[in-house]
Amino acid sequence: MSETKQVELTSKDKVSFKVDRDVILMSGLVKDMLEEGDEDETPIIPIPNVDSKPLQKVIEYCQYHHKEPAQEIEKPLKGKIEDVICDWDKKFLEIDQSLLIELIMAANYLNIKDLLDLTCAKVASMIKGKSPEQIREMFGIENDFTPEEEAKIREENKWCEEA
Amino acid sequence: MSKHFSDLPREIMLEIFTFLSLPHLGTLLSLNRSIHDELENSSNFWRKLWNGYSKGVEHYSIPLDLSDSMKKQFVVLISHKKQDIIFIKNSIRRLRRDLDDCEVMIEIGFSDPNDEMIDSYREKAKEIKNEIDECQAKLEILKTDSDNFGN
Repeated sequence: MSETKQVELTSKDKVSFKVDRDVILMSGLVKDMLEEGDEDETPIIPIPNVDSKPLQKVIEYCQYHHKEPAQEIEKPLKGKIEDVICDWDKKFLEIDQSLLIELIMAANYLNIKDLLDLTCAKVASMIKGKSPEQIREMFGIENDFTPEEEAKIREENKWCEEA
Repeated sequence: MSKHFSDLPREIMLEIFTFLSLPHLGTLLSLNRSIHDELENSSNFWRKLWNGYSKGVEHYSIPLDLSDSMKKQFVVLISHKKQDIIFIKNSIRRLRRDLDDCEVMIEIGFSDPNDEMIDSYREKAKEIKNEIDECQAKLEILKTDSDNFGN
């Protein structure tokens, strides 16, 4: 019986994770790197842009979804994200905002489209139904408009609300 | 170090916004100057938004150049979408009335077992139910989440 081939990923903070090759092939970046390397060894792949905490979450996601492919999330999102994703994904997304942002960046860097869609849709779902003030407060966005400019922009874009 | 929304690259922010429907766009545009300018100038964003919003809208294809007069184009699209929704809702109402009529005729047929028309009414009722299902499916595609906006 043949052994499952593994890959060793090293995070930005120098933590190593051994992962089944089949699992981490969900990452477009890792896939490309493996195609260039030697098949017989256990390759060590540095992931210099991702810390261990988000990398661990990425691996967790790949371990589940390489067997259970994620369903496409429709755009625009209808209702809340919890209405359109599976229970496993709901539990997976029970994380703080900082880790969610790191996870988005990791998914983008590692080129894992389904994870990027899931995490981006989660943030979109957090934005839905909130006022500009609430969104700024939630994400720490500075308002650099003058009150007059803001009023003008709102007036100019009233047509969106007609949709 | 803790990461924030503002640490995200602009292209990812725009990707997040493509999951939102048009009624949210006004809110996004008034968040701050850099987000406003990024949104206004990204033809890729508008195209993705268009693809999401125009699903199910008949007789109206994507303009070749959205950047030129995108807001005007969207206003026209919104109008088309509303017309389509009204048309389908009216069709469903008409079909339901027809179905009620058929069911009345079927009921009358039951009290008179010799009525030869009963089978044709049953057949007609089945066809109407199928048509209603098709209309409901079209309506589902056209619907955005604007009903949930503000909740």
